[in-house]
This record gives sequence, structure tokens and C-alpha cells, in this order.
Amino acid sequence: MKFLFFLHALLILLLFNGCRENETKTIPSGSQNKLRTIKSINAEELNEIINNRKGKALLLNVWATWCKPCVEEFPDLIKIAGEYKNKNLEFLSLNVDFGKNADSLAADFLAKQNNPGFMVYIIPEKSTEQVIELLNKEWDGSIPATFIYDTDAEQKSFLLGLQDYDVFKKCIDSVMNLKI
Amino acid sequence: MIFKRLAGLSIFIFAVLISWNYLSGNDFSGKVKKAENFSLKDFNGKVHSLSDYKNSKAIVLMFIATECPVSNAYNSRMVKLYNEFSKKDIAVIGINSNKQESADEIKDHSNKNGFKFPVLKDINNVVADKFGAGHTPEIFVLNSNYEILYHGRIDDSRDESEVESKDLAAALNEILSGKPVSNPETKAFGCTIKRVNG
Repeated sequence: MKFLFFLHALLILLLFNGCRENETKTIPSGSQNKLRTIKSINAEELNEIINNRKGKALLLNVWATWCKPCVEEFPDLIKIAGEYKNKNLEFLSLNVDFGKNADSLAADFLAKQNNPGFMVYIIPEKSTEQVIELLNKEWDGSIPATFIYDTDAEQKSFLLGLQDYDVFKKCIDSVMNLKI
Repeated sequence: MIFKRLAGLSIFIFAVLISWNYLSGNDFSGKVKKAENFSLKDFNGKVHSLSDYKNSKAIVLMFIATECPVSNAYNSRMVKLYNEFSKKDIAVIGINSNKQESADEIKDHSNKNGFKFPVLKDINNVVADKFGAGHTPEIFVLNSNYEILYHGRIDDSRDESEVESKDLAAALNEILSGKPVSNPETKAFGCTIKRVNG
């Protein structure tokens, strides 16, 4: 009988492993303010940000202007960021545009979005693989991708592909209710 | 009684899971180790089966797109790879699994970009699902037993002028030399494959 219980528990684990966890990590200086110049960030610096939680959860969205679903979900993220501005949630936006004018592509897009009030970084081409591995070892690099960390810098949610306001809100609330 | 039923159900589902993973060649991480034969039509309606290329020294499957800027950034590099490695008896095949990109669009795109390799239309993303392909461009290199020897990117920069590591070419050269692929798994950003139920 014990074996059967064990088997059942194992089965449940196999079937419900949708939310993946990552190693513990954390944030840099305040990043809930207005958009500054878009800076590049490598995996090591990003790891430092993820781990420096200071009592805040973190939503991290990876996007590019060439990615249609990324562009489509962006207004929902801006709306969410506004709603959670004074709550314990930090927003971080990672842009993966490429080419010589990558930063201006991102800047132009953000200007059209009225420069959302969260920090936007560009991931340099050479940091691609390390960043993908850092954010989730199961991730293949498809975007958009959104990761939500709790206040202990533990990755609680990994959303791959186009999402909408309701999904973002539900996941954030779920993570924040757990820890805040 | 209820525990017995629950246990029975668990064993049944567990067995189905194991069988499915075994038959499809997946492990529980979702990664394919060995592919199965498949047949798809190219944009001219000609059927291509993986088994048609079984005598090649390796088979390169490239999941590509007509509209994805990342995939398109690699068009000329794909042509160069084909030109270099098809002469060395390596089969190069493009696969388009995006639901919104028609055979006609694929044909126009191939002609415009000078693709000499076949580009197959993966209707309902069946083959992409079997391989676990998530984005474009994404590469799988198989041997004649359909074992996956390399999976990942073409090289380390979407901007061709900044390429430092030609990962796919390096893997193919190692295969041609009879060596194991030293870096069999790489990752890159790409456009999500638009699936029928995605």
C-alpha cells in the first residue's frame, strides 16, 4: 500500500510541475522610477538584480520590437506596472532586439508607449545563452517570456508566449500572496 | 476501496506516460533524444520523408519562418551552410511549422532568398511538436539512426558581422570527422512557433 501511495505522489509530481523554480537570486538600485537611458545588462549583473530583492517580488519580461506577441502584450504589462507601482513588486524589462540600432529600436518603441515607468535593459548578443540559462534552464529562448520571483528571489512563475492582463495579474497576486 | 481505485488509476496513467515518452523518444524533460521518421510536403506538394535522407552523413533540420526577423537574419547564412555542406553529403531541410505561413508564402520566401534546400510545410505543427521545437530558427542535426547529435542555434550572433562561434558548422565538421559533437546543445532567442493550439 505504501508503494502505491508513493507511486501516486510521484504521478502527481510529474503531472503538476508547470511552475518551475530557479536558484535563489536578486535587484540593483531602485527601478520603479521613470525610464532612463536603456542600458545593457549581462547575466552576472542580472543575477545580482534578481537576488537583491529587498522585500519586493519581481516581474521580469523578455521582449523585442520584432516579436509581435511581445508588442501585443506590452500595454497589459504597462497597465499592470502602473497598478502595482506602490506595492511590493518590481518590474524589469529585458529587451532582446539585435543589430547596430537595437537600442534605438527599443527606445522608439518605448517612447510610443509613453515611456513606461519601469527599468528597461538590453541584453547584449554575447550574453544571450547565459541569460537564458540563468532565467530558466528549461527555457529555449522563445519570447515573449515572463518570470515572476517572490521576495526570496525564488522563481515562482514562468510564462512562455503571449499573455494578457488577467494572466499576469493572477500570477502576480498568487506569488505576492504567498510571500508578502 | 477508494485507495485501491486511486492506486489503479495512478498505475494506469503512469504506464501511459512512460509508454508515451518511450514511444516518442522523449525523456521527462521534454527533450528529444531520437527522432522518428516523418513525411511532409514541400511547397510544391512533393512528399519528403526523413528516411529519404537516411544515407546522408547527417541530416540538418532547420525550423524556420518567413516572417520572423531572427530567422530572416539567417537566410543568407542558411544558403551558405547548404552550399558548403550539401557537397559533403549532408542533407539540409527547412521546416515551416507556423500556422499562419502558407505554402505559397513559403515558396515566395524560398525563391526570394535563393534557398536551394527543400522547405517543408508542417501542417498542424506535428513535427515541431515531436521535436519539441519552440522557436525559429532552431536546428536539429540527426545521424542516420535519427539520433539527435546537435540542437540549438546556427551561430552566436543574429548580426552576421559579429559572429564568433559558428556552432552548427562546427558540429557538422565534427560529425564529418567522425568525432562526437563537443557542444551538442546551444540556445538563442527566437520567434515563438505559432502553433494551431498555441
